[in-house]
Amino acid sequence: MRKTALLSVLLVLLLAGTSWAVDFDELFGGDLLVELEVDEGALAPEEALLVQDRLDLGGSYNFSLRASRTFRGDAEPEDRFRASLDSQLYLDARPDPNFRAFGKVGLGYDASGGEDAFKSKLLELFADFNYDNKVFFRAGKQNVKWGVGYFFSPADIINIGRIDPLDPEAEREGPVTLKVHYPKGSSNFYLYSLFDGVKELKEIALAPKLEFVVGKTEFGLGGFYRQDEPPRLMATVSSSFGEVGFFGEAVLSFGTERGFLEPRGPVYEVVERDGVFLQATAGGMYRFKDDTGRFDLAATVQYYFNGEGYRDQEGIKKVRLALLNQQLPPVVNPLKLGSVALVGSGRHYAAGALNWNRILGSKLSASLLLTANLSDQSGLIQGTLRLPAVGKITPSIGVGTNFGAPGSEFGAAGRTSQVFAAVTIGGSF
Amino acid sequence: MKKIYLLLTAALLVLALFPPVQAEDLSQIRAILEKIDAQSRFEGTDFSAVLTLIIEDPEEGIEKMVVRQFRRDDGERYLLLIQEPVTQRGQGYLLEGDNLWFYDPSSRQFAHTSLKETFQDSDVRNADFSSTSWSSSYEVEGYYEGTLGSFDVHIIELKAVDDTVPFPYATLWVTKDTNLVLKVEEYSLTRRLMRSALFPKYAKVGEAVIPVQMVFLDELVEGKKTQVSLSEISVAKIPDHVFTKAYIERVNR
Repeated sequence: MRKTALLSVLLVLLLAGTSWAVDFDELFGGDLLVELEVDEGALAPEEALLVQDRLDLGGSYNFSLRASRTFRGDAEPEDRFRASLDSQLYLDARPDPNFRAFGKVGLGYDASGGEDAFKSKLLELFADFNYDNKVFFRAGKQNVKWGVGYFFSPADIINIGRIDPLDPEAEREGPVTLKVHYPKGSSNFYLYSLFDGVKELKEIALAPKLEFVVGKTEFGLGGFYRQDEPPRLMATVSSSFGEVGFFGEAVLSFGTERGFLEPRGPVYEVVERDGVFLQATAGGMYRFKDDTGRFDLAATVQYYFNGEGYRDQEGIKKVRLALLNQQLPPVVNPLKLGSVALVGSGRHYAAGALNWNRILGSKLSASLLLTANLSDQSGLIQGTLRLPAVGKITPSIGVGTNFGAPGSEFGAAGRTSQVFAAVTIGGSF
Repeated sequence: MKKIYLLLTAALLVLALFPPVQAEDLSQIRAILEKIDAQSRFEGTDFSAVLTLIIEDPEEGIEKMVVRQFRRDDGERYLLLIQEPVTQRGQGYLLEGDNLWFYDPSSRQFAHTSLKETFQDSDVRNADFSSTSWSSSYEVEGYYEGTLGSFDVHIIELKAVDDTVPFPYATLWVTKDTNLVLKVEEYSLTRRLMRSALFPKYAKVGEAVIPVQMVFLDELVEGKKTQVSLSEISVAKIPDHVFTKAYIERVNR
């Protein structure tokens, strides 16, 4: 009887459009209070979630088609077409609430490629266990959350993968580590032992971190130590003021492995530098939705100061140009060129993204992305228009271009513009 | 034109029959709001349930979402874990006092978010998963008597006292005999109706009385609404470690 009553309520609501169309007499005509059927399972729900189906296999699948036309200066436009398959597969084994093993691999196949068309990669492989549900351990290769920056995250000193400013939400490759996590109230204490590239015990890196909350603001303090590498200290902050979310990071590096270019007459010498290097970044996110729903906008901006960047951009420009033209770079000690930063050479960077969801109430959405090296005035800009999805099929079109002088970080090879159309068919299972 | 005259006449009649009551009578209404808030809280017990959301969008179609909720009002904590659909499975929300984090399992990142944000593009706000705070977050602007369905109700007009709530103005339809909120209309700063919420079914759970069926209507997009129903309700003690980032990471894939 109760089920029938609930179904009738459901029907009324599903038929109704806005509130004025609801039949309130029918909706609020009977008993308000219903009795609950107590159905306590054998396992408490929080325990049941920890074992789930005990063994689970799943993943995601994407089939992408992309056609593009690239314009480079006065050269003939270049047309390209790429069909690719990408998949992730995971296995999650949970024999009991206090132990689980998890593995995830990525598979990719470039149908337009040659011999190296198929690629596979171990993304994660770890085990979870705990001590008395108070101290939690995760051992193995794992994605790690460390910094809070969106486009740039200098505080992310332990992940292997770096943020791609043109795809900032993409999954980043994590390290092989033993993570020890001790939550206490709203604070979290972490200790990471990092094993990538370690051949001797003394090469194991250690990275402790503390997260704590003050009011509506979360702070993070951490460090990184590995023998024969510059030690680092980091701090993060994330908060919100009204509708705007803020984040910031600062890193002090006691030394650097980067090589610097010192002018020696008409050429340069790659030299090492000592000292303390500061990297800092700050940014904010804001979402605006007007009363009509026609303007649903989300904006993110971020500034990044790179203390390891080069004050003089001319030297690195000349090196880049020489390498691009397959010439010998103008340095007196070319064997040390490997330590010179071709990417991340600037001292000042900025990036921004603007997303407009459901443009003017339509099914179209657009995004505009900009990332720029302010030190050498070069950058990339990309606009994408997402067309209405049809089931699992998501079409989009876009345009991208770069700017900057020859040899600059983003404009090294000169002006390039591209238009593209893409279709992605995908889903999870 | 005729319609406008009719509407104006109806509005005048409503005002004449049910004039908003001011100042000296408002203490009684404030007491009602305090009772509403008190009976929405789980004092001394925890709360868990499975929430089924039916999100209906005229353009996107109908989507079902299943969410497991753990809630502890002492300390203003909750944990929401999305179990369906499979594309969002594992995403979670952890509330601790004034701080709400969203967890994305693909990047394994926690990001600060706001109680005022919508939950997963539905018509539900993150704040709707907590106990109510009508008496502390709003001041009474006026009220009048009326009926809704077969219930005699107080119709209470509220104005937010700070910016911690999603909407600056709200009107509540509250049963006179049981202090149950049947309907809420929420307005923007320009007094435009943004969202309506209907609460047709309640259940007594421990000492609290909570809605077990809710409908949230987007008043800007005709036909867009989200229905929420609760099942597997329990007030059993939840271990402390559930309300931690570590627990979200453990249950995730």
